[in-house]
Amino acid sequence: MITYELCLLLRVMPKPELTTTLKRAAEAIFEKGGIIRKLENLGTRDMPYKTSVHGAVHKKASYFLYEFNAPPSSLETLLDAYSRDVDIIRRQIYKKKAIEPFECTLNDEILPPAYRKDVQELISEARKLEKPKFSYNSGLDYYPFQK
Amino acid sequence: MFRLTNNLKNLTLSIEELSANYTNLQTVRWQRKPRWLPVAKSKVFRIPKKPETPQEDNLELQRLFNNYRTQIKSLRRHFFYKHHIQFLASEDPEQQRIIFEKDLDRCNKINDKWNAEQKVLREKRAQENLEVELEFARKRIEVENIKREEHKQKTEEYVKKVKEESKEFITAENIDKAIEIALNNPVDYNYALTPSGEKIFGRENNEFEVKEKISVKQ
Repeated sequence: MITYELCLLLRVMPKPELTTTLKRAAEAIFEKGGIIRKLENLGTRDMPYKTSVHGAVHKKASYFLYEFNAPPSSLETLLDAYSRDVDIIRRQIYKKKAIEPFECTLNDEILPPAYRKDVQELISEARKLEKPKFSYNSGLDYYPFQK
Repeated sequence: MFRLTNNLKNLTLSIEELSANYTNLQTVRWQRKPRWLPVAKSKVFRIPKKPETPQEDNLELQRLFNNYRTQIKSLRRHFFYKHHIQFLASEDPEQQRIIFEKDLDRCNKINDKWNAEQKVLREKRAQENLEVELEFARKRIEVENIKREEHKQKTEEYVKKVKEESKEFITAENIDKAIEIALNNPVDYNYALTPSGEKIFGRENNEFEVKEKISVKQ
């Protein structure tokens, strides 16, 4: 069972109209035999760029996120149905990915370079390539013979 | 290629003269046509002269060869009669049959002995192979069982998880309520990270508010 994420950008509307549009979008999923797992309102805000659809130019949009399960063959028809909805500016369906386990290493990363482990490893690696130098073992800090 | 010269002049050969000194050597040019070239046009109709041997020599050679052939033939025949099995024993067919049967018996005995030895070895090997194969099959069954068990467990876990999640699914019945809740609770995943690792959520919580600029000249 694949979980999909549907990102909807609705045009700015009063609340009752928003409700009916959201319900219309949800019912399209139910019609295909799908289930909705989650509905989120991501707020109303400026779009990154102005968009013209259905004969109007939009600069602001209400962002909504549906998480749902539906047969993969129905996705195309769903998107097609949404594209014909006048209240929807943009729509896109993504596959939801499971969050991989993640370990935060920020504390190590913001250390000064000399204390970072990877830098220390690099230095030790470079030391290995250095040519051996001859030491006279004479205890003197100068060369006693003529060079 | 080089050839030694001057040696034929003195019939007494010495080591010094055979030395590979270049003054003693004469270059020999290798002037030969390659094998794959056809016969020259001027030599196509040339018929090489047959070597002529004198009549006396011919007769002598013939005589010698006849002698040689006769002797070889008689020798061959002699050895054949001496060593052939047919002429070794008596010529009595009954006797020959007995000899043949004895020999066959002996051969059979040797053959049976070998077969018996091989049978023991073969059975031992077959037994070992069977044992190995059985062990392999047992191991495979074990591995397969473990795999199946793991798969079953995984599926069960997944079903359990989905069952638990299904309580919170939004269906046609509770969609109105879900929409109402969503509209009233906007979510914002944006956050800023401070060096100490704190997360500051939201978009418009600027700590340093823009102060109104007051011009000095007033």
